[in-house]
Amino acid sequence: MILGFTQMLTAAMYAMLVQNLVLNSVFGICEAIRIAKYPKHFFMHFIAIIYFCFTTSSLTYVVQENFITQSLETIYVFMISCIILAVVYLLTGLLMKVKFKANKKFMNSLGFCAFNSLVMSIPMIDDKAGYNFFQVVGNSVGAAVAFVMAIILINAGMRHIKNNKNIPKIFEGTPVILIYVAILTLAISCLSTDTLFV
Amino acid sequence: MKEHEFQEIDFEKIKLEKATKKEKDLDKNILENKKERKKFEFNAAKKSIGDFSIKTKKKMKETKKTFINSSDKTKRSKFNLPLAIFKGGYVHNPVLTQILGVCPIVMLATSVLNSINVTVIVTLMLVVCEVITSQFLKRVPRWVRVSLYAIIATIVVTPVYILMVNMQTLSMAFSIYLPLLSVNGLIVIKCEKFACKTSVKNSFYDAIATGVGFGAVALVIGALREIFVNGSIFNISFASLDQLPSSTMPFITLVLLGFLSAAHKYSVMKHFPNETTDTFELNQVFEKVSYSENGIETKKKNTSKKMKENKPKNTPKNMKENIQKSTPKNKNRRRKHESIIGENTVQSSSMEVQS
Repeated sequence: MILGFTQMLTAAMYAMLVQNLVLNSVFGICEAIRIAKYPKHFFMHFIAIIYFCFTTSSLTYVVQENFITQSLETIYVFMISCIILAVVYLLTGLLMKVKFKANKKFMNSLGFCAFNSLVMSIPMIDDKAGYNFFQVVGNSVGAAVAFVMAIILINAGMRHIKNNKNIPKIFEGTPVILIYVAILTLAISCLSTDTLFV
Repeated sequence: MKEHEFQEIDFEKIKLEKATKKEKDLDKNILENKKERKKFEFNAAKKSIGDFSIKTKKKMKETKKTFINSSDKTKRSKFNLPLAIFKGGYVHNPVLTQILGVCPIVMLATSVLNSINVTVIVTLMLVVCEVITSQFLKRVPRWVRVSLYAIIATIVVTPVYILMVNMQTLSMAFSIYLPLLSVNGLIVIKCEKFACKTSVKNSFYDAIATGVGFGAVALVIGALREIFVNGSIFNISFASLDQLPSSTMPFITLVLLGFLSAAHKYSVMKHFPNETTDTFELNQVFEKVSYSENGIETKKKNTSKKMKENKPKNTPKNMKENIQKSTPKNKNRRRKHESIIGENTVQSSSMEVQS
């Protein structure tokens, strides 16, 4: 049990810092930039992404271990995870709409959090790396934390960029944000083995 | 004694009658005020309707004229497909203006051949998804639709993936990133913002336009990266350039994308000054929060304090005025005020009676 927890923690730390799935592997970077525009809903996004990451990755692991004995191609793993995610999403959406009477905005952002390249990439990474259940859980939580970390960093950068008057007019808006995200990815890649000058 | 008692009873009755008369007078005043207000509102509405009718008549005449003139033109001019593709692909480029589809460009567009493959797959997925959504999914609730896009896109991607495996052209990057194209923000946002609201034909053209725009950016990035890594493109070597093998990293691609989007913005501003393309203008995003030089967050001064100071206090006179001014929306409020005034008048009349 203790070994399992240590494995979970190491997987989480690896997904969060070394293999930062958002800034290093660029999974869900578009969504992160879009969410960073509206800092009010950080916490809601964080909870939703953790929930969907955890449920899809753990359920695909369970399905693969119990019902499928052969090793599958990546596309089939992706298909299984996609179907599981769709079912989980529809069930949670129904629950939110019927029981908690969630408004339209909430439902739209829920879909944005669920069908995300970050959420869908985790089951495939787990399959490729051959993780056990504890590592699967750790990886999903670490990926969600990495996503929120990226959002916070991008949002902070956006605020400082907005007040900087030295930026030329042509670079204002999308170009500056792209360059800022590039610098962030370079900073995060220092924690992994990647280097600029090979 | 009996006469005296009888007289006292009469006196009390008279007092009560006086009080009731006063109450009735007050009620009448209130009713008259109400009637006057209604009359005033009715007249105002009449005036506005009259103005509106005059304006609308004028507008109708103008639109009739324009319609008659334009109908001749529309007969002659047909739907311009190249112009639509140019506008959708170049002016409103999804990658350079809306930061959509950055993930596949950064990870898959490592060479010209790879970028061509990616653009073909993305356009195919866009066309299928947009056509299906515009044809069948318009009545489905939005939150359900989002899940269907992913499923449709995976159905499109799967045969392509199997074909690439059989042809042995699938690289390691493609094996993970190719299935993820189906959950890309480009498809979801294009389907939601365009395909749901328009016809099948228009959504088809939009899909092709966005595919062309995506492909153009992917090709440029792929060509530049190929030159940086191999020092050559289509057997044309650039020996004078130093090779930079680390240009496959996301950092260099994102920087290239940033400069490309700046160049795109410059050209759009020059040739199409009326078009607003950039969706990440930060002045619109962070309006409320401003930062001082030290970087400490300072909120803008609230104007609500001034409003509070200027607000009149709730004196009985102001209350009556407020009731007269109040709109028909806050009926409950008015009823409350009226009841309070009614109680006050009854109290005052009873006080007079006592005195």
